[in-house]
Amino acid sequence: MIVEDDLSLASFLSHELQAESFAVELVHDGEAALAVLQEGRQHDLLILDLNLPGLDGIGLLQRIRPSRPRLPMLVLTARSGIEDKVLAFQNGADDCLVKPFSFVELLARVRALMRRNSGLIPNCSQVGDLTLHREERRVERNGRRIDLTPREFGILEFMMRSPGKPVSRATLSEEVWNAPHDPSTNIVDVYMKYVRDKVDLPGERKLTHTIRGVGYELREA
Amino acid sequence: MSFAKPRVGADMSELDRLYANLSNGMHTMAQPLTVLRSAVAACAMPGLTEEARQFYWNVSSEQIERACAQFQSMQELLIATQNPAACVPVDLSALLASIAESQKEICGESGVGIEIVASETLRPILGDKERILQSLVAALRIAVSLSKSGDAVALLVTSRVSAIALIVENKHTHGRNLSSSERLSLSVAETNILSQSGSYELTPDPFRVTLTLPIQDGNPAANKDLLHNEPTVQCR
Repeated sequence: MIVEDDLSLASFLSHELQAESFAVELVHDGEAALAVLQEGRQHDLLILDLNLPGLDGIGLLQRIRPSRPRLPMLVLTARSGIEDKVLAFQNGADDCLVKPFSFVELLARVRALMRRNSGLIPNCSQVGDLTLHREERRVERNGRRIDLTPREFGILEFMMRSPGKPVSRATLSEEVWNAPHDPSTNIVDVYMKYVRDKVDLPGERKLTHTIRGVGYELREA
Repeated sequence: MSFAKPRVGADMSELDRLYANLSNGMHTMAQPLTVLRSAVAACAMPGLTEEARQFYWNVSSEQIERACAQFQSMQELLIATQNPAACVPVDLSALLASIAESQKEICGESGVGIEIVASETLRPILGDKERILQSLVAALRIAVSLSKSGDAVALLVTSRVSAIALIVENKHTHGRNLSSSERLSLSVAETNILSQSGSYELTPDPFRVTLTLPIQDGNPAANKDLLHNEPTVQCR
C-alpha cells in the first residue's frame, strides 16, 4: 500500500511498482490509510509519506505499529533533516527515503524490506527444473531462459510461492491484477495460457495444471 | 533539538514566516523532482517500447511544468516578503471588472463560472492592485479546480469596519485535500495580502478564502494612522 497525498507522485510510483509486478493499493491521506489497515486486510509492505494532511505519517505510524509489528514500513520524506528520519524510526519505520529519490533506489529498498521481513519468500524458487529469481526477475527451465511480461511474471511468481497447492482465479486476479475477480472475463485464463505456453514446451514435463472448478496449480507430474 | 516541521501561523515574524513558507515550498518541489528524476532515467532505459518512452516523456513534461510553476511561486514569495507593496487607493469596481475579464482564462475548459457579488457601493481600498489581483486569481483558480462542471465559484465583496473583505468561496464540499502546489500558491496569496496590512483566512472544505484589506477613507491622515497601528504594514 502506498500512502502519499501528492497525486502525481502516488500515481507514478503505483505505475512503476505495478510494472514490476507488485499489486498496489493507493491511499491519499492518513485517515483513509488507517481505515484500510484496521479492516485487517493483509499488505506485504507500506510506503508512507510523512507529510500527509490530517493524520500525518508519524501519527499513522504510532497508530498502526502496535497492532502490525511485522508489517514492513518504508517512510518517504522531503525534509532532509536528520530529525524527521529519527522521529520516523523512533515510531516504527523500518526504512526511510528522502525525496527527491530515484525509483530504482525505492525498488531496491522495497525488495530488501520484503526479503528481510517476510522470511517466507526466498529470492529463488524452484519447481522441478523451473527456477525463478525474484530480484533479477529471471526465469529459467533446464537452462532455457524464459522471457515473461510483467503480468506473466507476476502470475508465475505468485504460483511458485506455493507449489502443489491450487490457486483460484479470484486469488490470481487480486494478487496480480490488484482487482476483484470478474467472472464475466477470462483474462486470468488468457494470461495463464501465455505462461503455460512459455513454461511447458512440447516434449517437456508439464508443470502447469488446470484444476477443474478451482483454478491452477504448479507442480511436477 | 526540535522535531517540529515549519508551520505557518498568524503570530510568526515576517522572517519566520518566510522561512516556513520557503521550507514548505522546498518540500512541495521535491514531489515533481522525484517523479522527474525517475521518469528521465526511465526514458533512457534500453529496450523501452515507443509507447512506454512516450509515457515517460509526457510525465517528464508535466512535472517540469509543475516544478517551474512551483519555482515561480517561491520567487513570488520572496518578492512579496522582501519588496514593499505599492499601496495606493484601488478602485474595487475596476479590479472586479478586471477579474470578470479574466474569467475565461481562470476557468479554462472547466465548465465552472465565477459569480461576482458586491452588495453595496464599493469604496476604494488601500492596497497594491497587482498583488491583490494575484492573490484573488490564485484563490479563484484553486476554487475552480475544486468545483464540478456547471458549478459557480462566488467572489463576494463585503464591507467590514475600516476594511473590505474579498471572499472566494465554493458552495459545495469537494472532499479532497489541497495539493502541496495549491497550498504553496495560497502561501503566496497570504504573503501578498499581509504585505498590504491586510488579513487572510482559509477554510479548506468547503473552500473559502477571505482577503481583508483596509479601506481608503479619503482622509490620508486617517489611513496613515491605520497603517501605523498595524505593525506588519509594508506600504513604503
